[in-house]
Amino acid sequence: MTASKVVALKDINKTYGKAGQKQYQALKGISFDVEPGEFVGIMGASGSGKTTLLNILSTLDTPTSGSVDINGTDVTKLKGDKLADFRAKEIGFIFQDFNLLESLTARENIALPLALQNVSTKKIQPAVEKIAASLGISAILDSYPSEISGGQKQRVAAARALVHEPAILFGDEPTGALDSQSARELLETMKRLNDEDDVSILLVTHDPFSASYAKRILFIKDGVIGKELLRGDMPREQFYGQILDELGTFQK
Amino acid sequence: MLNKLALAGIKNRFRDYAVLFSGLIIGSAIFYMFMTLATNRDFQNANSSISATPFIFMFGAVLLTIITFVYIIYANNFLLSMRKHDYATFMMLGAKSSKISSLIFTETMVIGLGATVVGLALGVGATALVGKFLMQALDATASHFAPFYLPAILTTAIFFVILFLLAAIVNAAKMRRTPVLELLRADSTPSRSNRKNWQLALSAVAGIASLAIGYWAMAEIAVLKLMSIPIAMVTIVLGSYLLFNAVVVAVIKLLKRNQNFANKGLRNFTLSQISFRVRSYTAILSVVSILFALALGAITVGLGFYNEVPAMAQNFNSYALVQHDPSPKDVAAAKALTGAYGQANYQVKSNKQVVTLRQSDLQAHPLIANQANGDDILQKKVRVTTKELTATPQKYIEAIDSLLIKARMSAGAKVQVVSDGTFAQTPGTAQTVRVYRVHDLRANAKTLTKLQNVENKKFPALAARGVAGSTAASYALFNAFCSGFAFMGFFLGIAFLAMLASTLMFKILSGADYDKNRYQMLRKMGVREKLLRGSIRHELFTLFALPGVLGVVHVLFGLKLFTSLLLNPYDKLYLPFGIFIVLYLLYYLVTVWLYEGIVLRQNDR
Repeated sequence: MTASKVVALKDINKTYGKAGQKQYQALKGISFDVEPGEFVGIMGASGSGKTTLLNILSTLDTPTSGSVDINGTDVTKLKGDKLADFRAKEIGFIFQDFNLLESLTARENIALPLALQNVSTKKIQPAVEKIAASLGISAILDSYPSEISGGQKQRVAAARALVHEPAILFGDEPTGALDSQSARELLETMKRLNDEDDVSILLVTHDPFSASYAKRILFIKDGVIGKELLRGDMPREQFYGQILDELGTFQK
Repeated sequence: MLNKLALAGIKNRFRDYAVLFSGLIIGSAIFYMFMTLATNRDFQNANSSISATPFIFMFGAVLLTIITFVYIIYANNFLLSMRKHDYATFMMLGAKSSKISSLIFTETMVIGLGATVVGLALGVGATALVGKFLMQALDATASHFAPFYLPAILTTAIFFVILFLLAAIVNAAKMRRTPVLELLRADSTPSRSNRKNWQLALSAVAGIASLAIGYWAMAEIAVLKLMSIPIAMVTIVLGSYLLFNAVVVAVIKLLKRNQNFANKGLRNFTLSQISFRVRSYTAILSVVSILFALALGAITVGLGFYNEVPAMAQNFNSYALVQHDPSPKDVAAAKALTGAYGQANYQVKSNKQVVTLRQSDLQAHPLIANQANGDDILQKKVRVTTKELTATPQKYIEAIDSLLIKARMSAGAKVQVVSDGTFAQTPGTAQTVRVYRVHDLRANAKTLTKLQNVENKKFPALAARGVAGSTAASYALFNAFCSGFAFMGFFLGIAFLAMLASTLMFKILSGADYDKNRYQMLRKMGVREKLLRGSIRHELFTLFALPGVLGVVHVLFGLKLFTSLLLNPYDKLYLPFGIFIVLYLLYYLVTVWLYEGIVLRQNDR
């Protein structure tokens, strides 16, 4: 039933602090699905619980209760090596601060997820070239992260997150450290990947402009999903306006 | 308030501070241990008959000073890397930079002085303990050896106070000069190696050439005399540096070029880490390889001297023990010898003119004589036939005299071998002599000395013959001569080993804070824990192994220096090498454990 969904969250609760001590509930019964090929945005202010939610989605943290199915597997039941392998195969990540390995060239950074899965060298190079071409970073493949711009770094990070064709791409404020031009280019690229290659994307952000690239937006506040916004056939600019309106009322 | 905050910072990272503090303690303790020998002229003069000993110790002291200096710099960097973030936060909260400077100055001094005091106490204890243990294990008689030696304490204390004062000033200045933002976001960014292939090749060739000169200088010590040591020191340090710089980088380049090899799991990452490390570690790796060579060399030479004692003691005596007219009680007492063989009884008659032996005795048990063995100092033991004995008795003077109480043959007496019947009628003092040989002289040394003392009491003339009189006497002599050297060798070897491994450990640990992010990133990407640990182990193993391998090569050539002092410096190398490698491995494992503790520490979950 949930097998057709890329992500299926059911009744996620997350409580910090041990029983008997002062506790804080960051997530209160969150449920939602992401269909294959969907581009979902999650918006919320600082402290709304969106980071906790993303950590749980990306299997870096476990919920106190509830289930997280990603591509048909309940990741809350995975542990140790199986969890690491799952992360390596099914999930692609881009972070605000790029998280590239400075001791490796862009090419080596991108190849790493494939190398981890012991893909043969013959297959690695074409795969790296292909994703690099689609992200427009073919020219800087042999540069080290310290030699390229922030926008290029984030593209390398995106390439690394997508090269192994994960079930879903998680973005954690990927445009947060970029100038507006680079941010726009990255978002356009993500949109194209979503449109043309059917890459499922889940973007966590507090930036309405970034969120306007999504097809559906979930607003999270104080640990619950307060509102859902669908773009439908609306042009992006109009959707952007709607988001701004929504934020204006939602955060009151 | 800020003082309170600073203290809280220390509490939070207690483990890291414990590492730092114990490292500094080890540093000062070892420095003190060395100084107890280096500043103690009485000890040196009493335990070494070589005039160069004070010179060698002075050289060692200079070397250790430099190494300790480097060591403190690394330990200090480690401290700074831990505190940077905290201090930057204080600054951001509005603390004046002069306040911060004085805070970090105080912190460095308190930690440094505390470590020095504890280190001195530990040093005295360790010196006493190691000294006692070594003397017992080596059966050594290191006279004038004093675990508590005031000049050494003063030297160590002054040296470390100056060092920490410098470190504190540097720390304070660094904090003041670096912009807050940089402190908050301090990161080490690896850069591309811009070295061309021909540069690498040139560096490798130059490195090998300087190493060759150094090795040659050590082999030609007979010609170069004392100059060979400084020449070797300079060229070998330089050579190690150039070689590390070139060869490791080149090998990693080659490995990375082999895509089939590099694109497996984390290999590419590990290789890059190593190549990045080696470039910034070149200096420390070459220092460590030298220290490794010194430590291993000292232990090897010490062991060489130690092994020399029984060989030399037995070299000039035919038998381990000779009993004259033994009572049944004496014969029973000799049963205490372990692994005794070649027991035989001889009837001898002797006076000033002639020594008479019975043919039947000699046929049953031919005499054992020492015979020159080519150019080797160690003689070989041969059985002497009656025919040879009567034909050229002067060749076997030692063998015959060893049966007698007084050295009759050396004094010009003749020897005759007769039948039992004739023997009864020969003039002279008659004695029954019983001889023993042993396989393991050292194991029997105590028993032999006891038995020999009984003989010497019965026949004072035996004791008067000194070294020629008995194996026990010559063992005592050679042991006194060699055990001082053996003691120094082991003592310094252990001190150098502790120093070198701690230096490497600190250099690695001081970078751990920077590396943390990388490993966390990899974990997020879904790298298995096992793979992460494997990568860390490989990386650190390479960093330990590189100077180790080069150090072993240094020692193999460096032992040439001792060809004039030792019978065979290359004898039984597996023993010191084995001991040393086990100790070195332990250090590696401790470093891995500490490093993994820092970089793989998970704050959440």
